[in-house]
Amino acid sequence: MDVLALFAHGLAVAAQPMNLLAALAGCVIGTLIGVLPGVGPVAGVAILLPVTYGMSPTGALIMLCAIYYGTMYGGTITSVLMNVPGETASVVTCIDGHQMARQGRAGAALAIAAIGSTIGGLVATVAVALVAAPLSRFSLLFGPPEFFALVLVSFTLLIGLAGDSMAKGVIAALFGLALTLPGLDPLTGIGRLTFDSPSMLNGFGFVPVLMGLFGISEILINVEQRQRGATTSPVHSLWLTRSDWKASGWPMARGSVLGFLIGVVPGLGAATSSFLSYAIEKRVAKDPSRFGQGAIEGVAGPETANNASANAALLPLLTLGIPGSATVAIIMAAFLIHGITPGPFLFKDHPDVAWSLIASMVVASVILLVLNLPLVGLWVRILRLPYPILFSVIMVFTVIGTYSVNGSLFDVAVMFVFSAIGYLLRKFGFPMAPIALTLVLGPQLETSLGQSLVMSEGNFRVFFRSPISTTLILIALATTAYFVLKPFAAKGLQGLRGQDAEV
Amino acid sequence: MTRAYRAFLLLFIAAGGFVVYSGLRLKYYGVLGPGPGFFPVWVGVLLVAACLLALGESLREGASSASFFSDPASGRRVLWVLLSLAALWLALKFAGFRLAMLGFVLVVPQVFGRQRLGRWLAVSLVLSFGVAYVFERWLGVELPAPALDSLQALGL
Repeated sequence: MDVLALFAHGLAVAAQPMNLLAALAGCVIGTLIGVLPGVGPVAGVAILLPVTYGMSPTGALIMLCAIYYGTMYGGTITSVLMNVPGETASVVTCIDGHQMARQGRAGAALAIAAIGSTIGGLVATVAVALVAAPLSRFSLLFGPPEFFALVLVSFTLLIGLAGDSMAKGVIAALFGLALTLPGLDPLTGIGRLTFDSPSMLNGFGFVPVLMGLFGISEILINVEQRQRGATTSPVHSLWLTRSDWKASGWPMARGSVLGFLIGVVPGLGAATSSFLSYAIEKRVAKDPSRFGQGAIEGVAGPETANNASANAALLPLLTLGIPGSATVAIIMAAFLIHGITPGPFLFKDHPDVAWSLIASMVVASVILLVLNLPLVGLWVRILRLPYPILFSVIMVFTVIGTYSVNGSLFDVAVMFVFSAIGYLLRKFGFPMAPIALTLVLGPQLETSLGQSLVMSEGNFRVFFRSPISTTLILIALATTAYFVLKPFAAKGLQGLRGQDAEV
Repeated sequence: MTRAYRAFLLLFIAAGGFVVYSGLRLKYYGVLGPGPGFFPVWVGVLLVAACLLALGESLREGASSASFFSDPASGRRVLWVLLSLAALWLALKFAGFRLAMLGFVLVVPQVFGRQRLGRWLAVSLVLSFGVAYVFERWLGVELPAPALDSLQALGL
């Protein structure tokens, strides 16, 4: 079957009433989560993971992806109306989006953001559909050494891009890996770090750890900052003028391409794409001084780019089994919970799931556009929800969600303990994305390392026997060298500049 | 803030050391390749090394004047919520979901400011008894039951 036929089949599955309902519910819940102050996409998807337990794998994954896209759009609403970004990818939207709102053009800013998000999402989905199958076939060439090398590359990228301190990125990644150690050794089945407790034989569950580290810890940060009721700008007309359309066309086109290209690289993420898009639009603008004063291009480009990037981030997950961001890592956990391993065999073993998920991106993009513009008034009202109610609702649902996985209060205790650890990690500025990535990929990293060494009878040269793994290991080494040497090079350059200035 | 950060790193070093120790007690390498201790040893060693690096970085930078909490009240709020999470767990174990959640929702959000009693009681009842009813009766999800026989007899 060619791509078009497979995509049409996926669309038919995604359009089944239950799956359509899942996409609709996901978009609504996602936007709601994105709108709520202090709850980002990672926390939102982590908190809502248990909602999907009782659903079919296809419906569950469609719903989680829709929640992901919804949170991305929900974040835009708060950026425009309150100057509070719902998530990092929307930070840029605050600059011109909120200025537009202050000039009485909040409706136009939200409309162009919704249209740009839909266009970016659709373009990225078409690109994912075209690239996914060939990339998936290529990834069938991957054995344990190649897979180990690939995971290594994504780790180095994510750690290096994680923040200002490389050491903190490495600690975060190793912490995530350490959390995968308790339980049965994946190769020999021998128990380790179980503290002789039967509850620990299966190790820490994904759900309690993810909910604690990413969900409740974010709530604790909000508790510290004491969230109050929001003050929002009024929304008048959603109509765009002819000059708005004219000014937004090229930024949306550039944002779509840029967002897709950045989204497929693990670790770069939607925030990078929106920042880069803003920088490009400002550079190519005839009058760059308009930026920061309510330029519609400053909303159209970044919003298109961040949604294109969010959709494209699913490509490495679906084809290689590598999540490109923390939110996608949690979606990967959902795949595993539903007994599906994303990666090279996904398109072969579960074509229904893979293609319906890709098709559901189109469905979700359209739902978000149709749903969000008329419902802006509702989202604004939800923004005024008192925080104590929000806090209580989140706590009730996280407890139910965690407990219902295994009917175990031990899991609830694990979630609470990791809430405190996650809070401290956030307070000390540790990047959270590497933890999510290594937590989800850790067991596969260990298994592929073990299998590779068993294949070669303990010879580490196995990683240099195939051109794919050799190339990937070299990329990992080059990336590490780049990130390690970058600060020294910067210091050296500064020193040279200082000398020049003195001369 | 700096002292707390360094203490946190020391805790991580201790945890990394424990992982190495536990790994060394298991088989490190066998005829077929790595044993169950191989990965823990390396993860632990690297974790300790990275924490030492971060500790060195922090010592080189010196202490910052920023305190851990922006103001004492915010610290009290966080500690209150953390302690109430521990209390919630105990309450879930002994009193079951309904009563534990009723108590939690009724009391803990007061940290954000006094809530109107009547309205808040209604919210608490909805989020404990109401939610439990929906999940157990309609969705078939089992929620924590009380360990105490007397409460079980009351259908809580």
